[in-house]
Amino acid sequence: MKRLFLLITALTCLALAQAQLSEEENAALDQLINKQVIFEADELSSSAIKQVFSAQFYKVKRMPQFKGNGAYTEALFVKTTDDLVEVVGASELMPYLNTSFVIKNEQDAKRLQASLTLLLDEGSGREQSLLQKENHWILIQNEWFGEKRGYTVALDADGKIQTITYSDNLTL
Amino acid sequence: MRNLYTIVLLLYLSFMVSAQKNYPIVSIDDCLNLSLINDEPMAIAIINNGERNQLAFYHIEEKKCLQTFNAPLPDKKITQLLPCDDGMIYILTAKQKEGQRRPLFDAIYAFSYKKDRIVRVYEETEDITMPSAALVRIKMYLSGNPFTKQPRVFNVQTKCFEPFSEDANLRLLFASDANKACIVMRESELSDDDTCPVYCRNEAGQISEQIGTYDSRMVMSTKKDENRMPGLTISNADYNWAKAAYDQTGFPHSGFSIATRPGLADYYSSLANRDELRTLLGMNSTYLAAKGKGKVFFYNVKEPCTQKPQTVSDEMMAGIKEHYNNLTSYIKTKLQSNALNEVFDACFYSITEQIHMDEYSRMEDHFIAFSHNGQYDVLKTEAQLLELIPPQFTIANEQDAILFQDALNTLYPPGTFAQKHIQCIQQEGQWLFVRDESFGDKKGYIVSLNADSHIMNIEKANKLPL
Repeated sequence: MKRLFLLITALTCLALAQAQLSEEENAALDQLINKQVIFEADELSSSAIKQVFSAQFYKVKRMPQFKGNGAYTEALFVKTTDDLVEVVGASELMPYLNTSFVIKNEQDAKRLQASLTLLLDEGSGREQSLLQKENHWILIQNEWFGEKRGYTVALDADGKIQTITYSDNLTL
Repeated sequence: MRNLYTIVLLLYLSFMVSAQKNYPIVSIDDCLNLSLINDEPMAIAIINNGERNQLAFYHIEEKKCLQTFNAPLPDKKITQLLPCDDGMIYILTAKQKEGQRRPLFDAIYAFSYKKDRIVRVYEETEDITMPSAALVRIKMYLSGNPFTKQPRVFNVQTKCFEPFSEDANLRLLFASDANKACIVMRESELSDDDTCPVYCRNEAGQISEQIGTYDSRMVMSTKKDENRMPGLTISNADYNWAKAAYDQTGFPHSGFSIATRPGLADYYSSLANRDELRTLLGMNSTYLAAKGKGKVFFYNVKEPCTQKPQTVSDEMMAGIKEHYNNLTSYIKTKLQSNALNEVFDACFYSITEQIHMDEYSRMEDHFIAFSHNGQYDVLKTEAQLLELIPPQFTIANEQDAILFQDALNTLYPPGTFAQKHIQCIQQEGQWLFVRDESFGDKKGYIVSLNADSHIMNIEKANKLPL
């Protein structure tokens, strides 16, 4: 009987919760929320990024303080002449490649790998390696239970990048 | 294995309280390694200029490279840069040998910044695991495990090795260039409980009385009080400097090795961007340098930078906020019940944040806000509730306790499976409000009362004392 009473109480509480907010409350809560969300932004610039890409990149940290548990999310933004765009994944970086950048040798491929590591946080350094396969470069970023993760970069005859594809299980 | 070390380090750090965040005062790109110079706002760094690696002097306060050098660097991996009193920078290199997992000691080079020239002063011909090196004036101490072997001592003036000590029992814990001394211990004095007395050996080779104890025991536990990391305890106040000096040696440190130096771990836990960092490169009495995300960050440990320096323009930041504002919506609902009105002198709001990632997916987060005396705030801890209870409210009987429980039900509605566990139990001087159960442990709140039945404390407990 006591449990039934508790259940009814809980359901009543939820039903009562559907109250309308006044304009004043709405505005005050909006102001509070605005203060509770902190942003940090840093430009990502390294000689590798500058050689491979022709745009400015920013790592943005969004830190909501609602629970005080230090949780945050990170995102990569690219600044174009008239816009600020969030980039998710390697394929979305394609429009920002430096038009003069080509992969002719292992050093060029390493530059691309270093750039992707900085921009997309893939790989932890020690497990990184790379190999060439016909007109492809395979950039191995890390290994997870025997499966190699990383990028397959397809080139044209001049060494220009055609596609960059991420895979959790690279075919070597 | 490294992941395990990271977990261990995070567990350890989670028990530590970081009072204030320390933001980097400056960062440099394309820096591969560096060493801080004692008592100077300077570092000697290896920087990649896009074409090749080169040595450079970097001024931390002026935030710029003062000078770059053209001397070709050794081909092998540079593990340490050691500024020396003789005006040279000594460079240690490591080599990799097939079949050997650990890098091996390769050579010592001397760099003269006045002449912009690098000369090899010693080449190792045997297979020796890469040691950690420290310079005290002209003596370079190359050591591995302090308990098993004496360090090799390379005299950079004579370019010869010399014995560490005639006492075969003497071991080096660490050498401090800033204090021109070595902290030593004796192998024979290592007790069964893994503790060992430590002494200070000065430049003349004189050994002090016992100055403290090195405790190499390590216990990792989910219970805070049982945690123990290896560390140095100084019992002679004249040698208090040794504790700080210990934190400033043995670089680079990463993962587990940071946790073995509690003072350094304290600094590390306060670094605002520590999630980005992989390696601590060096620390002196004023600065700490750390590497991560392709950058080297410098921190002032004497006067922490508690506000993040502006790194992007106001216009850029406004653009970022606008981007997120367009993706985010908030569903705000006022929480209402008679119990809530009677127990608390505040209005409560349930807020759901929705971030629309794309057409099909969104992230949701939920929190509670309140207004009290015209001030709005977010409810982050139960302790905040204490300030919202009017002075006339007491829990004098079961009816009052059920009223309080109903208020909790409105604030934190129990889930379907938790409902059967909801109950309140009186104990001496306190009420226990059970909210859920997990593996036989009842979770909830302990509400402590004074003699007049006024609430004095509200504490969340994952295991109620029942």
